[in-house]
Amino acid sequence: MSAFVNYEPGSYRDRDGRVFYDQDGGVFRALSSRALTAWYDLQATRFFPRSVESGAVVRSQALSSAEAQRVVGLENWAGALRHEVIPFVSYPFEWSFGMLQDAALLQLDLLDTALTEDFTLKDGTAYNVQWSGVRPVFVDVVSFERLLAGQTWAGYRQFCQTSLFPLMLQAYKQTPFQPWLRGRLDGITPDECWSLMSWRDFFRRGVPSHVCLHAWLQSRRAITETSTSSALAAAGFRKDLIRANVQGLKRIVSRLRWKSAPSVWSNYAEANGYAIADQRLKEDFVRQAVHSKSWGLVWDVGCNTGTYSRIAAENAEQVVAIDADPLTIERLYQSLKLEPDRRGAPILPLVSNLADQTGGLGWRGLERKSLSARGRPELTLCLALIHHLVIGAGIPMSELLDWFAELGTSLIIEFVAKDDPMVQSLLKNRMDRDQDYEQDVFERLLSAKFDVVRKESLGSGTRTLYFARSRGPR
Amino acid sequence: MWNFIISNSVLGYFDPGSGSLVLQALVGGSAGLMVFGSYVWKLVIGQFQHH
Repeated sequence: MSAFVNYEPGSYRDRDGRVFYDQDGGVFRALSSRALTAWYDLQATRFFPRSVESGAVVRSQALSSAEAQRVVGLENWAGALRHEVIPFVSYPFEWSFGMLQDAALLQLDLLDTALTEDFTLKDGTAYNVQWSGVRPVFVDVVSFERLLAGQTWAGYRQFCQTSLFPLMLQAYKQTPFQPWLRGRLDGITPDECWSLMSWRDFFRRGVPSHVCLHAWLQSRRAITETSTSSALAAAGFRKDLIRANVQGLKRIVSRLRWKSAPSVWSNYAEANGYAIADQRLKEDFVRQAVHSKSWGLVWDVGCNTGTYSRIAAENAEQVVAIDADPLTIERLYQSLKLEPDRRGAPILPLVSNLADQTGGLGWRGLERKSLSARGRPELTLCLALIHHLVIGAGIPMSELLDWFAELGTSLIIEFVAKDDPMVQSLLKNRMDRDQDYEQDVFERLLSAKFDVVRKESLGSGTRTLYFARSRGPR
Repeated sequence: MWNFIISNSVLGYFDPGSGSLVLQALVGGSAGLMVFGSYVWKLVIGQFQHH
């Protein structure tokens, strides 16, 4: 057996299949004999190969016994699959409303199609979906299994907790779901969701049954203390009922709308008062730096409308566009969806606040990883952001630049001077946070950690762009 | 008997997912309601037999 198998810490729940990695970053899944049989059964269906072909399900290939023995050992497993690598792993608490909605609809479509050939999904968690750019991809292929007579959809509760309820909260209550999903990986329970609803919400689509009744039923002694699965099978539960539920859920999810009020950031591009000439200078500066070499992973932090993410995508393998504002990311996601023929690298929009980053979550603190643990950028765009981090969030300038240096990333970074109107408005009530916010301090700290290869002031006179190459070993 | 039907479970020793399974019959349309009725009927009969 292999001496060491690098198992994915977040893939411990399913005893029949466990994700692991090889030294070259290849992604594999070890399979039990049950899962291996199910895998070959799946290959014989019509829906599964079609779903893979359309890109809805991650491409996977079974390894030969000799290969499986070499990479994972067959003492504890019956076989292994090699999966197509997802360029950047993300989590539902980093998605916008539309992303979670599309991921939910993908799961329901797959289940609906699988049911036609007597297959089901044993899970329903939103974490089973990843992204290739703005296209959702279902990755948990061992979740497909043959549907037994009288069997219910075991993943229904997970689906409600990680997809349906978060979407309802955003659509019906204008409550961002991201902090709720980050707070508990299993999502929002039916009773919690119901407690956040008012009686008026009782009349909204899906609430009486999937929320209110769900919350009531989950604590009834008569139900929870009996063997429900076998009792339902004996009562005549059948596939048609799952299909009716899934089709009802598809109607509910697809009609949910987030009627968002403009957020502080969503109108930033129109309101920030950039002169057109400055805008062009900035785009040229970024484009020139981006084309100075080919980049692997690029982060655009504080991405806003994604103008610079798109420029970065011209010469990179993958761009992750990050913004703390869910509405900004929602707009970027929807606009990228309308650009199917856009050339360049895939752009993955994510909701994340650099000043409030997600660390290790879940079992042993390893189940869900921080952004940087999922992939360190080779280039980071940090445009018109550091004043928010240093003055707004109170992060010392030296610590911010240390963090970028530790990532091993090159930087395209913009310094906005104190006399800029946007910085002035930030400083109004925070005069104690401006000590280290000086351009000479910034330049000294930047040169200490990076090789500054280019600097350019914009016409406004208050904004300066820097292209700084990473110096340290990544 | 009534108490058995409507009372709460003891926290920590029940599977809230059971409620999610039963709900799948209730949201399955008229055919689901018949399955739910049959399920509840068997639950009640089972309790009488138990007592």
